[in-house]
Amino acid sequence: MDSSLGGSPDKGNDRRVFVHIAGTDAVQSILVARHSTLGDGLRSAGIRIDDGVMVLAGHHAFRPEPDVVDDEDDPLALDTPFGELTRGGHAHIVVHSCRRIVVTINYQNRSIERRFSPARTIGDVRAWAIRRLGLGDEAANDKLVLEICDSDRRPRSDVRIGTLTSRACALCFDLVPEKIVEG
Amino acid sequence: MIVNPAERRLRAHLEQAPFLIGVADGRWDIVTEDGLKWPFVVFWIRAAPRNGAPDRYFVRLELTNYPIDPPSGTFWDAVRGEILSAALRPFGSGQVGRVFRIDWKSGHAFYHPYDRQASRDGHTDWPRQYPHWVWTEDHTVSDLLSVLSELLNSASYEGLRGKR
Repeated sequence: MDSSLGGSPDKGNDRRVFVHIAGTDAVQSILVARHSTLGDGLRSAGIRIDDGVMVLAGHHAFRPEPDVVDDEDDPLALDTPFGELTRGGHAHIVVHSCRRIVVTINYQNRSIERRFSPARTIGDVRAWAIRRLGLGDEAANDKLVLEICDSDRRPRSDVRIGTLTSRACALCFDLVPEKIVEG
Repeated sequence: MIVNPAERRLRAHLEQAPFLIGVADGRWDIVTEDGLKWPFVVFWIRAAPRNGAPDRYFVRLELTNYPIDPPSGTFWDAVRGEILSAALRPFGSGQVGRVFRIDWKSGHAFYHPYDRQASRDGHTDWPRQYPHWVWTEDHTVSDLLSVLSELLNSASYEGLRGKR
């Protein structure tokens, strides 16, 4: 009953890689041979890595309630085999010109800032902000969410922050109350 | 040959990253055994562990005119092939309690702007109140699955309604 209809079945030695590219929410899904390198796999998928652009490993599988923000990883070498990147048969990589993104988060009359890898998710950034602001209890029951400054856009928790900016190595969020659906 | 453009669009979205990421992360997937009988599609969504509650719930979505119009759906009993009884549905506080309420349309639709019935039935103010939840043709079924998945894995989700 649980067999998947979506997507082509992954072959034994192939790995599914999700490529998140700076400034676009159109994530690409590619299948690469486990033994092939990062550079070869991206080239075969028609993804160019220009000078000054880096490839960073996406952190782990989706964690709906992340409570730990690990240390940031360095950019990946293009001769890294995909087999070293994948967990559970798949991996996330982020292509970006920024090694780190300065993230500013505003909450009421406070403002905090930290440098994150572009491969970090919105969920990870939110978890860090709540811990840093000491809001554990208040944020329980998911009352606070991240909203891009000067917009009404609230990215999903699994969005990689590198996709929210192309050239600028900075992002700004407001931590705002989630509105309970009423009516 | 699939001639229905809405079904073609859905099948294309099921091959794309937003849906496949959820599958790869074990958050959701489509049920293929009787799972796709257009315009109805059945998915399972993983839920956080709670005492006496299942590790996943099934939802059946109706996708007429997708993605121009959002889906409409409800929780589904995959064994009996019918709408899930109230006692077997998820329950919780805050947003979980509102979206999964059973006192509106007898629980036959999700109480959320991404549900077609909810967004059209007397909620003309919702686009102004919740601009971040306005469905457009650029949205996909993964956007609704993501909402449901986050609710079922949030601190507000308490378990089975029948075990309250």
